[in-house]
Amino acid sequence: MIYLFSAYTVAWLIIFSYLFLLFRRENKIREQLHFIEHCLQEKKNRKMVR
Amino acid sequence: MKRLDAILLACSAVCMFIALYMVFIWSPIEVKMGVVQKIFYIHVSSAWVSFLAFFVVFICSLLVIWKSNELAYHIAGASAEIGVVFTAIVLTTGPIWARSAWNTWWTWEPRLTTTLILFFMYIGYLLLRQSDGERNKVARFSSAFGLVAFINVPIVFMAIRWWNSRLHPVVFGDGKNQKGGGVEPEMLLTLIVCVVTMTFLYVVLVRKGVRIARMKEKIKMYMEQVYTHFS
Repeated sequence: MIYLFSAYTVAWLIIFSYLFLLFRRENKIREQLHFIEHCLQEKKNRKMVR
Repeated sequence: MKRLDAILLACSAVCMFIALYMVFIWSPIEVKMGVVQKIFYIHVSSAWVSFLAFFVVFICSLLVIWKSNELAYHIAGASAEIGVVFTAIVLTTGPIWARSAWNTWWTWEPRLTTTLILFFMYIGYLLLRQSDGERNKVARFSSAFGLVAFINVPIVFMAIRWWNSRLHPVVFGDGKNQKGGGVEPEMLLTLIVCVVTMTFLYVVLVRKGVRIARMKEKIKMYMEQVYTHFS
């Protein structure tokens, strides 16, 4: 029974760790993207005011 | 797009619950090995996903070399990563099962050895994609490697059939020195449900991986714009 438990625990740990990493990576990149887009938009607006 | 993702995620969650119920409650207990045999379901379905993932890498690599397809390059990257993750599951659940069934964690038997080589080859592929250099060249080199690495997939599958494998059993079809035992209909159905579940999960993960790769590409493009503006 201990082997069965260990195998499924390890498998699900690997899957959920990968999912967690993927979600974290996506959030980080999305934040970066929003920041850059925001900066570029602000720059454009300033140019238009001038 | 987001709706499709939500549907796929819901499908994989529902399938996961059904699969867990079938594995632990519905499917019969094997007479020789007992409950440990239930590792078979996660082990084989993970192996299936890794083979599928590497096949997708192969097809996408062909598209990159032949048509310089950008989307195919992103799909290949996401798929290879998932393939490596699921091969890691195969390589960890396998020894746990082996310890109970063969009384050893690891043996340099053809199936195990070729699977380990496959794992390292695709780690190499992922590292190659990260290398510095002109983007098109990196894409072409890594895609060529992706094509070559796929040769190992049929070798892993046929290893127990071609060579004299004393430990790893042939379940479906016949091997060199052994006949495939097959599985009970209930066990086969459970395995199919597990394979479908893992395939849903694979699709969800690939879509996510491709989305991340596209966002990275967008950031790169913006950074180039900023760079050309200031230089």
